[in-house]
Amino acid sequence: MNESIPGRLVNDCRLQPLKRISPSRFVGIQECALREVWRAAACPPLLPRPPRAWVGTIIHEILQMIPTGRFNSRSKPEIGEAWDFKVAETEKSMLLSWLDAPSVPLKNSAWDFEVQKIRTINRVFAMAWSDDYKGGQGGPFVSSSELWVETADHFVGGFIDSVEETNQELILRDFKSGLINVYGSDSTEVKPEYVAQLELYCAIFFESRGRWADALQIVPVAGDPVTIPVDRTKCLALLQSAKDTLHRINSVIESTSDVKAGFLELASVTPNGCTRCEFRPGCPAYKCKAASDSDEKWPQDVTGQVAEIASFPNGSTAITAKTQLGLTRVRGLASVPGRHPALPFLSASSWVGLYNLKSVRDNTELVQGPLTTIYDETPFEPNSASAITQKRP
Amino acid sequence: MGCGEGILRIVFDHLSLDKPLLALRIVRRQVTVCPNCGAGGTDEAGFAVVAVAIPKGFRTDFSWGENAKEEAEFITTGSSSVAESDQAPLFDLLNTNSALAFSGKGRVFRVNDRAGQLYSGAIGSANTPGTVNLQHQWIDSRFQSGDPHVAFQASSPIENVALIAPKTTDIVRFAPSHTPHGMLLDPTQGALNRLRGPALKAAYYSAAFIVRSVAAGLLDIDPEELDISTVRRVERPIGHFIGEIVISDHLANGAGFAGQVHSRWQELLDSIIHAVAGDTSFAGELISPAHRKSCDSACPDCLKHYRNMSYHGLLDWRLGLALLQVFNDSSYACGLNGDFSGPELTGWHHFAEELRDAFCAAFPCTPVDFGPLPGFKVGNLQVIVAHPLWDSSKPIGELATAIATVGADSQLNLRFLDTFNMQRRMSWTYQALRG
Repeated sequence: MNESIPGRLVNDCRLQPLKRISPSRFVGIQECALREVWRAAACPPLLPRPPRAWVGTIIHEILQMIPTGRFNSRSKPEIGEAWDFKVAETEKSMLLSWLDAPSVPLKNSAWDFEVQKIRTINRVFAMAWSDDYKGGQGGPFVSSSELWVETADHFVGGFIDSVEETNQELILRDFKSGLINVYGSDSTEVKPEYVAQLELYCAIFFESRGRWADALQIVPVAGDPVTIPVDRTKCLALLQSAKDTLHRINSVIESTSDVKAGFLELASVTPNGCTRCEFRPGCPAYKCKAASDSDEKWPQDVTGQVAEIASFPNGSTAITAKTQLGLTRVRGLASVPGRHPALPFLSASSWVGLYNLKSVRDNTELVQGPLTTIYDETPFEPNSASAITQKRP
Repeated sequence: MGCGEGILRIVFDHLSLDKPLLALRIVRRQVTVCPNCGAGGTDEAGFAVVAVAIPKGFRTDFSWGENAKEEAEFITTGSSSVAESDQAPLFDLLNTNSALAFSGKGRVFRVNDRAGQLYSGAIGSANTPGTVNLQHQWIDSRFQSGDPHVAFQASSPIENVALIAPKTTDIVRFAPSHTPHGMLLDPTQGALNRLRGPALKAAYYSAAFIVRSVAAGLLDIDPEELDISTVRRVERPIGHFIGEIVISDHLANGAGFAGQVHSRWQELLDSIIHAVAGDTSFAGELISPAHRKSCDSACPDCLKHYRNMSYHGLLDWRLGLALLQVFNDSSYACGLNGDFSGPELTGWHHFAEELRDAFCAAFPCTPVDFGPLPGFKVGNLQVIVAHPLWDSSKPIGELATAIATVGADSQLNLRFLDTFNMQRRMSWTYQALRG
């Protein structure tokens, strides 16, 4: 998919066989293989990344600095400086994308930015000088951060957040910045995808280094770490399942001659999975199913032909689109420069896609949300006269 | 009652979600969406189009009538004063965090919508056998039949209207230019977040009454010369909501006082922010040690008067003063930075702890401290006591430190109560938490 013309949807992503499966993506690949194939092929995302996800990456990077000895002065300000540096670095990269630039600064867009900062500083402060995080019993102590492990056939591999090893004990840890339990206010069940990820690492570590871990730990940024018992049979079965999945996906990709048919075969269209997918504007399977289904659980997206565009004194714009389900009106679209590059180029009868909308007033109205993205989806012929007139600045 | 010259339609701006916050714009055509932003026109949407009538006059029911109500028989009516939405933009005033606008010929309406029920009636003729035959009478449905003296015959369909009394006068509007980081200034949050209640609306009304009293001192006039017309929600910029206070001259065609408030805003604001405790000014008296000690929210010596009785439940001089600090300085932190030294914040921690303890004594809750802030546990909920102007959806400073003491998963069970609601309606607050 082409991101070079902001606001214009161009689908030029192809199918490439997967080289390997990462444990962190294993559950995701079972949810939708097409999404993971596109991710593995480094297709540019078509929707902005949620600000909390950016903050999660920053937290991860800070926590991974602990074993490197980066924080040696026993001072919270030092950790705070590292945080500020990472935030500045992240925001700089976000500004390069028209999709993510509106989420800068993160302190305004990520609602719990400062809470996460405080938690991270406290966690790093506790971990960097706590014996609990220094390998437990026995010596010599070896601590690794971001340790690369892969199977002998190279089909499954990835980076383990933290490995702490002594003669007597081996602990594999994965850091998590958000909820670690299954969503639900009283739930204490750890998310299955987090468990599967650590179990896969455990199996790969055994296959590549011949040693089973004694403990697997999920370390939240706040609260106590959760220890997962090592079930060796389950770990090995998961690893085999990951390899089988890889071969199944690659055989689909290699056997298909029609790209669109391949997309449709690999895609698993579900309300939950598609809500989290950054490629759904370019996914024919999603568009086909979600556009004709009025189930409210689908992402709040509208695609169709523009019937009317209206501007209002408060500076907002409303678009009424003819969709498969009838006329749908979306209001409150900001007209500020840069927020929606497609907006000035839309006119009656253009094809438009509005993604990540917000439903208000008991689902009676759709309005712009913080991550709303608009695409001009009018069929585009690169060599036609209309293509020249529609070039973005 | 006699009907006016046809029925106008008022667009009750959807930006305002309850009656005292109504903004309105008169239109003489059918409106289906908000002319300002395009919001859909349904009651559920909080945007409503209501027919209004300006009565030409009233008549008696031709009976001997009843004695006039005694003064003690205070009757609550559904009337409120609102100013017409003005398209004139607010302009930021340098060296303050205030944005102001002045309208020399603004329209202010006294609206009586019968507490939201509207008046239902029809045009027709009223006859008293052999004596009176009155045509073109608009009679409320409640009085169309059952009167032994007058027979009413409707000649038009039933219509529902609010009554308005328009006035042309000077209007000054002011709002914060920017919302300080970590603070919430949307006066309708009470409608969107049940636990918030009317705290933010209260802050605006309290600030408005402080401004009116200080302006009266500055201009040497009776405070009644200025009407608090409206506090309404405005979008500035798109997607971001703040409150706007509208004050008008009490006299029709203006007396120049609203204009003075506009032109001398900085002087007025300075006299509040930099008041010396105990001096003879209104603001000085407000922050005097004696008043601070004796008044925990509002009293007849400060904001409560006979004529603003309907606002008494909302008034809180500390809250109003804190909001006026925002009007003065966009970097004002309202204690989020740990500085509670201002007169509007001194003792807030202790006050919050006292409220928390009283709450826990009244209901089955366990007191707990969350870092720097008091709180409690009730059932599976953890509750942090916060300042009414703090934004718990974008926590910083003291509030962020308090939240950070809770794990990410436990955060799902975290709630926030503010001292305004805990002080005034403890039982309602408890029910809202449990609900």
